[in-house]
Amino acid sequence: METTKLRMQGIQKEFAGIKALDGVNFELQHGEVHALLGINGAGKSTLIKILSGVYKKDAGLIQLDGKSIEINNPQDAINNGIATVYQDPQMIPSFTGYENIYLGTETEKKGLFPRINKRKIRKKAEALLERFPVNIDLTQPVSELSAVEKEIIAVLRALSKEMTVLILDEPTSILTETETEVLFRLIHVLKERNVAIIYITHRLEEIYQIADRLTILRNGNNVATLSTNDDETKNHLAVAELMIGKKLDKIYPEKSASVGNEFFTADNFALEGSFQNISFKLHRGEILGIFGLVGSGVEELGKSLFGVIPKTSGIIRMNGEELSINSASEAIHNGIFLVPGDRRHEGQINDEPIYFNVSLSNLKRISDATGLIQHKKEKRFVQELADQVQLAARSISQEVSLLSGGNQQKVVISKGLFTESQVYIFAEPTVGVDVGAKTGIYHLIRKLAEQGKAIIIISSDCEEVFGMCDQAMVLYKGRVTLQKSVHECRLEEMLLCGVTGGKTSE
Amino acid sequence: MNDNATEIENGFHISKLFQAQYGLIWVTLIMMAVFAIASPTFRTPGNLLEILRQSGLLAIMVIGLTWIAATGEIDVSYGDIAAFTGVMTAVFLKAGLSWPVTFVLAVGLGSIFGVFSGILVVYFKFPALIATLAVGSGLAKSIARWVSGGAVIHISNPPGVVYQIVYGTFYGIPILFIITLAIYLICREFQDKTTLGQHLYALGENRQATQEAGINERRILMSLYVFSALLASIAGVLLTAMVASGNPNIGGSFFLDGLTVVFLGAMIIKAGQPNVIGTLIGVIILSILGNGLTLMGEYFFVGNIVKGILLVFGVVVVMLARKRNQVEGKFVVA
Amino acid sequence: MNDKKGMIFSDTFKPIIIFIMMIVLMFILFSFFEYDKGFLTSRNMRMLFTHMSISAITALGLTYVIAVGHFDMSFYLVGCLAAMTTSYLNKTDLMMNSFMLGNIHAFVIPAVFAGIAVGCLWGLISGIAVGIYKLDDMVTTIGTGFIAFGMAYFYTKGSFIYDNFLSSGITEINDAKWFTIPFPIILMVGLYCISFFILSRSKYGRCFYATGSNKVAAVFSGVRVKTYIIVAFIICAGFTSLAAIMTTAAQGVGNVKASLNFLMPAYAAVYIGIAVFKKPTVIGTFFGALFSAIMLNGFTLMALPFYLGDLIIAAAMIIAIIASKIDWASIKRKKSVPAPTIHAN
Repeated sequence: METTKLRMQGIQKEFAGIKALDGVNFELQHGEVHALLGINGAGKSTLIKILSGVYKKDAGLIQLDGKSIEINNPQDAINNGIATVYQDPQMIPSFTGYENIYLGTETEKKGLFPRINKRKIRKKAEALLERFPVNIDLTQPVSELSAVEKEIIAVLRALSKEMTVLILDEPTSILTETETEVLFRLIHVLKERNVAIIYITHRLEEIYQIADRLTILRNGNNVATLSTNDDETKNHLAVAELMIGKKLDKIYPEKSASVGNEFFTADNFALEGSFQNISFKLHRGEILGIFGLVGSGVEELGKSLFGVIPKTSGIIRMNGEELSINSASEAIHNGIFLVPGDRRHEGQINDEPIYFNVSLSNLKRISDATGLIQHKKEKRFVQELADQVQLAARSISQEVSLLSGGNQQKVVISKGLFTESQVYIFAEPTVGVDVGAKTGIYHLIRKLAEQGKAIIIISSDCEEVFGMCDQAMVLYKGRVTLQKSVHECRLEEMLLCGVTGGKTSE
Repeated sequence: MNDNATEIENGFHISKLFQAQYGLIWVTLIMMAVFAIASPTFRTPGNLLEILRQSGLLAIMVIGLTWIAATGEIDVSYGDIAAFTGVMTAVFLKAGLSWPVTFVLAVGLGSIFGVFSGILVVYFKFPALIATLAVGSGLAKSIARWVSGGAVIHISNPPGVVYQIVYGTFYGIPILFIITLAIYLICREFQDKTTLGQHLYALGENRQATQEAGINERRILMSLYVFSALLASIAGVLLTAMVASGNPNIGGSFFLDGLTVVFLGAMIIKAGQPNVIGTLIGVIILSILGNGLTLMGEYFFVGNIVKGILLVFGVVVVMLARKRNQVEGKFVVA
Repeated sequence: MNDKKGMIFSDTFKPIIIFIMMIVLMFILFSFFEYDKGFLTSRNMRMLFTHMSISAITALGLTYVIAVGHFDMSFYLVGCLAAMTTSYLNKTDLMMNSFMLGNIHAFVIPAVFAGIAVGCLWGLISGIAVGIYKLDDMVTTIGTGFIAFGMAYFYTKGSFIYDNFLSSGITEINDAKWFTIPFPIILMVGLYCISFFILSRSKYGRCFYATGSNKVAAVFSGVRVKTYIIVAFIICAGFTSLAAIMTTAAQGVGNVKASLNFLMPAYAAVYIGIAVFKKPTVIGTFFGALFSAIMLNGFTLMALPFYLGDLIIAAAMIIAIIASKIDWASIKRKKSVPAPTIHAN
């Protein structure tokens, strides 16, 4: 009998000239929990999306139970018994657990609007629970359930469709310690029932609790496949090194030799439920890099500093003077600008031209006393900025939606530059940007610092933060787990503090 | 970490809902008391039954709207479709057709507007408001006026059977109300026991999840718009039977009432979501209000103000209920 | 950067050219077919544009609300309240005892402003409900609208107000002529020019559109989104109130149902404009209103009954929107979709 449930061999995937996966192999045994590790851009997400039918592979082989299969769309994946559960799964809040599990599959009957029997569905759900026992009340409306219970329901949903390969994409990033335990208990049950699981996570310590093997990807290549029983694997630092690789690509500009006065400080900045005890002293010409993964609170930190979401406590000072910032316009008025992380939803206005987007943040600079926009002035300023950031576009009258990711990001950055602020916060500055454009953006940021601005970079890309910052800070589940000058720490150390909260070994 | 903050929030919202429900009952009781004191006619059992009878018409008209509102869309054409169908009924009767044939023809024609609205919303992605505004206020009303020459068409009093339906009683209870109740109970079955009901509420609460589950939202929406027009048409025929005339301009009078009862009903049952039984109760409450106001004579227009306030109140409660269901811990920027 | 400028030029002007062609065509058709009915006479033109001014001003106000990404279902009801307020003030002794300014009693002016102010107050309420409390725009404005409508009845328990209409001179709003141009047309052109300046040429317009296009991104750009939403609703209510008062002046009677039929034509004008120009614009709304007005005028001259007007306008709006949507699909603009991004993982 074939012991390998799933085999992926030589998988290639390219996006607009960039190789996301370069001959990656992956193997999954029956009833195994196999973790997939790698930093940003390593290729984990691409591999999974190929398996779940969201992307189509360019080349390579996929075998399920020994038979070659083709997965061209999500339906193919489902038909082959492959299900994916993402973070924060979509549910119908007022429906009960069992109604959510069987949403869309309530009945076998055909017809326009067939009858459904809720009692029968509940019985089916109970039977499902007998096969996969976990402590959960399926009669509660899902809105009353905790995060882990919602994930469990998503898993049960997949199981109700007789899935045999389950992909869990960062399931624990939003869970507490106890909730994670609950999830693990379910995973053990699944293993016993011979469901094979691919488990994507950043959290090293969890892998040892739950996985049998782990595969590390880096830059679209396999680095290693290890068993969690081996002693050498238990050294987190070693694993982190494997994830990162020894040399740091020369894409980051030189760090600053000296910095100016203390300019922007935070004291015990906190937002209940997201982060606490954030304090820093930022100097002119200095870059503070804050590394943290999803759920660490970094995202909220940036927005809170900018005034777009509230804070619970803490004081922000600029040049010694306390600032009260309750809205983005107040922040901009005080000389602070946030380049947001999700540019599609937060950063750009898609149907409008480049110049519209750029000038929006500081319209009074290009309008006269009556409010009339001085279009020539606007074009001049925007063109200058476009040249400064090396924007590649036909003209600044082009709609932003037509640009590539890197150029879109440059437009948002230009919007920030247009405000002539003193403090710049960059959230995920290079997400969705190809390597070539990344370097450009990094140099831009460093140049800003050299002009005497105070910069904060917030990112879930550890390498990026390490490569760019002068001061380093790492957040894990809302708390600062590392804070020192970048010259005093190592990249692996930073990564560990972000993925494990500081534990260096099992 | 998040739990405490959201618990308090949830608790606050839940208690607000309860207050709203009980508040509504109090309001209704006070209202009835005020009317009963102010007018002796109000107190008579005949009047109370009359309230039930009149409820029937609006209730039938807005079942479709109830479900459409539950999916998060809107339909503002029900009043004008009813008016159109009423006019066509009068026209057909005057042309000598029998009541059964007239019924089928008129309702059929009225339902076509629903098909049209559905196509615009589902396939051409019109905003629901614009589509139903154009179809109802623009097309249905104008065609109705055209057919009737802008005036009311009077018909002779309906024959025995029809008269019994709209004015008769069965052991004292108005037959129209019984019919309405029957229709509502049937619809309640659909709402709670078929995929239609299940999926339309899913659609209203989380469109993405519903799409991911592979549910055909086009089929649901299309069906709902046609259904809404169908029922509004039936109501139109009944209206003509009731007042022995077809009036193309009557649509406007049902507009505010229809929406108000749906949102009031959403407050009452199903915690903030439009539902049929809630709508029925809402209709009865509104009929009490309307009935009482007519008895108040010249200050009838206060009704608009009261209904407007009730509608806003209902919207607030529905919104609070929806907020409660949102992802906890997520901070909304705008 | 400038080589493809030619293509972009024609892209933006194409819809305008098509639309101008359609209007010219209609003019030609009507003039030809109704030469004897007098379509092209100055008298008819004056009548056309005077009637147009009322629905055009209403639609203009609505444009602001659509621009910030919302719907308003209260304006046509609020107009009734405004009209009745002005009519009521018009019949008071205060009016008749005020001094004369040319053809009108001076009190007409504050009476009109009072009506508009009441309307704006309602706009403020709707704006706060939608902008700050984030209530559903459609249904909430239906509620607030009907509250206003109910209040309009309070003045005279719903009956018409005839008093003082001719003597106070309020009808001058409709009848006066400045340099032979009827006053309503002057008002319309004036408001459209100002709005064009605001929405299409000023920084305020940028903020309105940004709010409507992507509220979150607008917030992140420092736009005071809530303020702009509230202002949009106030403008909509205010403009409609003015239009309702103009109608009242034209009809010479204070009618509680003054602006009830403003609803659909206003949406039609704005959406015909959107169909042509891809977003709610002052010029687009103007064309939409003009289009509707020409059709109505032409059909009236052909002695078609008045209620067919709504039918024609609704049909025009539906056809325009469908046409605009089909164009998108067939042209298949080469949106260079950014390659599926390698997400941070």
